[in-house]
Amino acid sequence: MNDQLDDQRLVMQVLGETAVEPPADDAFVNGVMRRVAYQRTAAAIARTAPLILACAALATLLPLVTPLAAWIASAPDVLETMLLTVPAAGFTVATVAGSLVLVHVATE
Amino acid sequence: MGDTPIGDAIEATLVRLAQADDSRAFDELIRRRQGRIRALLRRLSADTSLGDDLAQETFVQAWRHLGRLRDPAGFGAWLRRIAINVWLQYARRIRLDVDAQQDVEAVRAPDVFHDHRLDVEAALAALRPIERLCVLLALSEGMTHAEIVATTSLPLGTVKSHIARGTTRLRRYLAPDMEKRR
Repeated sequence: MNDQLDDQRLVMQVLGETAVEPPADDAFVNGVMRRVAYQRTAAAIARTAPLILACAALATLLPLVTPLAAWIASAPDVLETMLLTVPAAGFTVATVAGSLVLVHVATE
Repeated sequence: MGDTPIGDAIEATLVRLAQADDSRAFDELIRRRQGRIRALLRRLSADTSLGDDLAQETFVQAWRHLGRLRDPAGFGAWLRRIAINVWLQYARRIRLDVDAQQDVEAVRAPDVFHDHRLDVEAALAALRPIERLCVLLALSEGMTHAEIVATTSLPLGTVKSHIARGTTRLRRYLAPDMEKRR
């Protein structure tokens, strides 16, 4: 038992004497920060993905909705025109907002 | 923090700043802690570049989970636990025998030694990975058996026997040098 403790004490001493801590290294720190930045971007994309998908879907539908709204707008019924053009304007705003989010995430 | 330069701030302050998403504070935490974490992982991996890669992964995981750290003063011990888990995950991924509990005697003895520090590194590298882990945590990091059990999830008896066997092997590999110290 004493021999075992003696061995442990000696090994501890040897390990302590020979331990080498590498000096602070910019390449190492920059490497970590770069990996952190990738993770941040990935997390931001994951957070905004539902909005981006919704905007993409709206952007796809918009070319169909806009001519329809224009056709209704030519009709005399103003209320009906409003009911269709206001959502179309909303779609446009959402698409622009989504695009801005995409650009922001891509350039972060 | 006022006008105190970030390099002069105490670690707990840096941790709080980093938790508030201050990347300069996290950068400084890496600078202060990288030496110990890299040294530990280099020895655990018995490979300098692999150890550095795992050390980078340790800091990335620390950044991801920093919000969960309740006691900023315990950052060092918390970071070391992450480093050990990063190494264990790596070891399990490449199927090192970290979970094996049977004794394996077929361990290669190190070649002829020339330099004291390299002797020790070679002797450590010749241990089974799980023995190396237990020996380093107990005898180099000064962790108690209970702390090693809590960090590695290995049974207490396994930890004790790995430390004993690993110490005996190191003692044997380094016999000439250690005899002089008795």
